[in-house]
Amino acid sequence: MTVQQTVSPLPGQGTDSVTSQPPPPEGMWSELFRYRDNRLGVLLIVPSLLTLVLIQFYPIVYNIWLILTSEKGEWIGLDNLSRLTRDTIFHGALIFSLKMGIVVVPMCLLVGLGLALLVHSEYAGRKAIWISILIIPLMVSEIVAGMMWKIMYHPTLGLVNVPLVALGLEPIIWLQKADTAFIAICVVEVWRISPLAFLLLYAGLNQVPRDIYEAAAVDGATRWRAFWDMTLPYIRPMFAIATILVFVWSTRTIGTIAATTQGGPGRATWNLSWYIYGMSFQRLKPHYASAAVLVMLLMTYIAGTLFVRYLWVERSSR
Amino acid sequence: MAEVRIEGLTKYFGDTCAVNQLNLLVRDGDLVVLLGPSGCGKTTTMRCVAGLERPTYGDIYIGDRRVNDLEPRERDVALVFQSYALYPHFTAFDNIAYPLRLRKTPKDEIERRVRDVAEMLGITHTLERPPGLCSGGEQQRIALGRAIVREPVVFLMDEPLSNIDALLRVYMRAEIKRLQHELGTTMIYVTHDQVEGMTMADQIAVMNQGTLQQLGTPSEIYDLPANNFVARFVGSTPMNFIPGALQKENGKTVHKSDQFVIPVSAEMADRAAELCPSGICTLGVRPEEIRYTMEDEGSNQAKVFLLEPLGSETILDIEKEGLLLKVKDVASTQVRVGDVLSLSFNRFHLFDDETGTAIR
Repeated sequence: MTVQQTVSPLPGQGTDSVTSQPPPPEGMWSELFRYRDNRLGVLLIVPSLLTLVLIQFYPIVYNIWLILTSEKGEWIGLDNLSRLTRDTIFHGALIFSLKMGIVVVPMCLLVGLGLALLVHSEYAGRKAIWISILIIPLMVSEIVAGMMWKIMYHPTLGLVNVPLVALGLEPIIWLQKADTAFIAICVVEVWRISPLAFLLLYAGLNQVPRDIYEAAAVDGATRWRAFWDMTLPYIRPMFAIATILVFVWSTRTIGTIAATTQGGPGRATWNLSWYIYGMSFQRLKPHYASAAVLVMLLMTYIAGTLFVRYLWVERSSR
Repeated sequence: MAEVRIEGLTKYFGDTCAVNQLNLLVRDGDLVVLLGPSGCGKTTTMRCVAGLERPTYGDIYIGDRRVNDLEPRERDVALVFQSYALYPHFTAFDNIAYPLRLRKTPKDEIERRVRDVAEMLGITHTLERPPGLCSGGEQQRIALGRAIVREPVVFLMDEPLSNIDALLRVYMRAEIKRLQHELGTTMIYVTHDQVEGMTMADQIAVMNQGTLQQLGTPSEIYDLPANNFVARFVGSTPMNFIPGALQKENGKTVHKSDQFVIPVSAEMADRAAELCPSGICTLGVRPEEIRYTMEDEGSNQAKVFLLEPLGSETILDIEKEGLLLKVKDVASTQVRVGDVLSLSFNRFHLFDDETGTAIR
């Protein structure tokens, strides 16, 4: 660079700061009630606010009350929780849920991102048609999806074994062995949930302004490089949302398990939801099950916080 | 540094022809402005040079290389977008550094070059901010910095000043011209603002409806417009047009319209007889080429109906039998609304009504 002349800042440009500003408001509430219109506004949102508090917080508080008491209604303090720490069935279910999360979340994100990129690309043609086809799994209920896949996994009639048999291999009895059952359930969940990731990431892709790709192309970026440098950072907040939702959906699933394995073989495919359901409605220990509910809630909460913390980097406003 | 040669460039979008058979030579180190109204094909032309669009027909050369089949990144051109197209998730520093990083420039050199460019453009204080937190003028200069830092062979500028306020625009256009001169890099600059074109260009290419209307220096474009489109488009107070026809009166040729009779030089009359046998042509005269007296002389008299004081000068709006003329006058003009002026036409152009081309 040969030119070294400096440009002096222009008036009204750069670091000039505003000297006189109105005083900052005293606080949200006093500000809210200062004007008649605002008072009316507050009055109008109170009913929905109350409803929200009731349906959000009442169940949580009630749940905690259940944990602290026994099925006979006696106060037992933290007994339910300490029993839970010794409950190996619960441990198995917790680990199964986490394992599912670990497998299903990245798979869903990958499949969702792949589909989103395909539909977003210029070659996709009528995008609305693709979208409406791709989100069909989202509209199918868990039980129906589970039943459908159960038939597909059928050792002799199922579609999944057809290629294996055609290749001269032994058909796999998918749902009757612990490890294959785990894979089978994960596949169902990926099929069921990845459209959600697809929808979110597709919406994210649509927000990326086209001109920054062109700028990157002229600046010397290959398509692959532009994907890493432009697309991924841009859709990162959507990624965070998709990760949280997919994690929640996949760890709390119950319909899929009910329709395919019923928790079997043995207790190999018990997840937290199935455990809570079994404790509450089959063994009739809802107070004890509530402790598991709390653990599940905490697990989701911690995972969600971590995802937001490490994935969600606020994009600067344009 | 390199020249840019565009040969027979044609670009279709579906059935729409955006650029039609464009030939253009941008000499090494020149600043050529592509000037025209929106939809004239100037941006498409530039995008073809950048590699963001593929020409339907024709060839583009940068230096000796035919670049038709090269990706944008292989052409070594820098483009400043109308929207700036800054990377919103990068800081200003990273925006400017990005092209260097893609070229695997060593870290300390990136640091040095980015700081140099930022200092040159007066944006050092913005370097740690994301573009979203910079003012329009600063964003504009970050975009410029990103283009300059690479030291490309050709600069392409797509209306880079259209999104900033008028005052800053006047400042920046001089700034860009100065930078281009000092760096000596070939530049193609697209704008619809004819003042910008006139003030910046070494050569102006005026375009309309996908075709090149005229290529020339700003003074050629202004003084010798090739056709009535160029004449109408260039000039901050537009040229006056008086439709009429050439006739002989007392052995002399005059341009006769419903309102005025204007004597035409013998030389011009000869050319007109050759180029426009029908004689039906429109007379075009720039506002500063109309003289007036307050005396009652000659037949070319008209009434002032509005004054437009611009500070440095005043535009007189004059009307005669439905024809409006604008006349440039000094700021301290004595003329008042309602005055009747006798007009004389100093220098004017004749445009064939059939083809629109200038008779000269």
